[in-house]
Amino acid sequence: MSEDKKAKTMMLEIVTPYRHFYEGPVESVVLSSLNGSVGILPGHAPMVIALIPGITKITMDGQTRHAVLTDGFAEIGQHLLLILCDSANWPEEIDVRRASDAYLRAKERADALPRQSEEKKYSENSMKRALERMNIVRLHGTAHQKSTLRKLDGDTTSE
Amino acid sequence: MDRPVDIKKRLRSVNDIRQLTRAMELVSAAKMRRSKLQHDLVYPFFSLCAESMLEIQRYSAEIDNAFFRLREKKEGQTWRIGYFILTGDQGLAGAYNNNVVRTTEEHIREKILDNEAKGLQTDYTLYVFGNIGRDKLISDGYRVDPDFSFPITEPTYYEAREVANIIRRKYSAGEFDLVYLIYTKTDSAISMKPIISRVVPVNTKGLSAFLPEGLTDAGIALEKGAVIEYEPDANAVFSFLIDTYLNAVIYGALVEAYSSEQTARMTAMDHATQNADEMLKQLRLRGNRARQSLITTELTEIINGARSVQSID
Repeated sequence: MSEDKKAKTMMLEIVTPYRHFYEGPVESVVLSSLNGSVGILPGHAPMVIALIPGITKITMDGQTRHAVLTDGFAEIGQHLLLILCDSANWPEEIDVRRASDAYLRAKERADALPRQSEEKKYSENSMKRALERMNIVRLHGTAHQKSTLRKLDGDTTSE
Repeated sequence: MDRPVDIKKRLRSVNDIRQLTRAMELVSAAKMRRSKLQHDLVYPFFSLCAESMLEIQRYSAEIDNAFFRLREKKEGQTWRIGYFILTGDQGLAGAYNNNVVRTTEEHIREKILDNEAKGLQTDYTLYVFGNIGRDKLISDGYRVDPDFSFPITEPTYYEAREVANIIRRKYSAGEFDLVYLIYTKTDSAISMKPIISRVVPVNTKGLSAFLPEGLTDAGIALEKGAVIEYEPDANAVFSFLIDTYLNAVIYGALVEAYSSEQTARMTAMDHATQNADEMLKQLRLRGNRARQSLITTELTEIINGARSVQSID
């Protein structure tokens, strides 16, 4: 990549029902779409992407931050990368215990439901959300969060 | 003639009620402030979502989504309508609950008459948030789904998603042809009115009403004439868009209704407190008069008594 291309940035805006999660220039973004990860650099062609729960990588000034986003969509335009999703969190905001509880609860519910039912899909979706939240903690969480998660993992495997 | 003791008793009870209404007013005011904040936070999300829908729909005429298409009915067929009605869990909010119930009843009546004129039948089910409205509608003899029960206080996005899932499932399965949402919108502290909005099929004309003025011809992110790609494909993206949109609409309505309820209660309790103040003023006046006339009578009696004693002497 040439020097002047590297200097280019684009505006990123992430909006959720509870807050304006992010607003500012970024160098690159990696999103988790229905078909896997999609990387976006400034000057991308207009595109609309369906997002599933997953980890989003935001790079600015050579520093990369990770956030976990859930279902929604991203609209890539000439001026702006607009992301609307159900929820967005930095790893340090995640309540590990809550995510782990939510995962177990959703798993229990999903296992009890018949295959192919609509309800099962919803439960599996909650499972996926909780799983991604735990994942980001495992990868980028604080030391305290990681140790809590390890303890919780120990509990569930010993059961 | 009033007895001062009776008036004292009434004074005390009116004062107790005044304290109660005043406290409720303060509680509602605090809750209203909180829900207003929530409302302000959800608004950008909601309007951006509506804006994106319009934008994408404009650029991609080929999208044919069931949630956008109004089903067609021939004579003798039945329109199945789902109503989602947002009322309060508590009374003492002025005409708030009654207005929503009345609007609902009127709308159902109109729909049935309208369809009958076209030779169509109407089948409807009510899904009611809040006990007050549910009890009222059941006792008025409307068909209310008894299993549907969601709290209206402090709405969360999570609850909205569950409700949106119900709508999505029933609409896809053909149990609903139309879904209406009836809730109260507050324009200012004094003007609030129940509104009826069609959730699905999505009313694209109505969508632009949600946008701030001057934003109808959106283009926030996209320039005119651009070709949009879709990942993975247009219809998959659109169904995601619909999901997010439905969630946002329901959540927005819940927040709006809750905030309206608190505003209504605050105003009602403010009036009640003022009335109590007025009553206290009059009771004090009457109390003083009663006391004074009692003293006057006693004095007259003493003087007369003394005089008669003197005249005997």
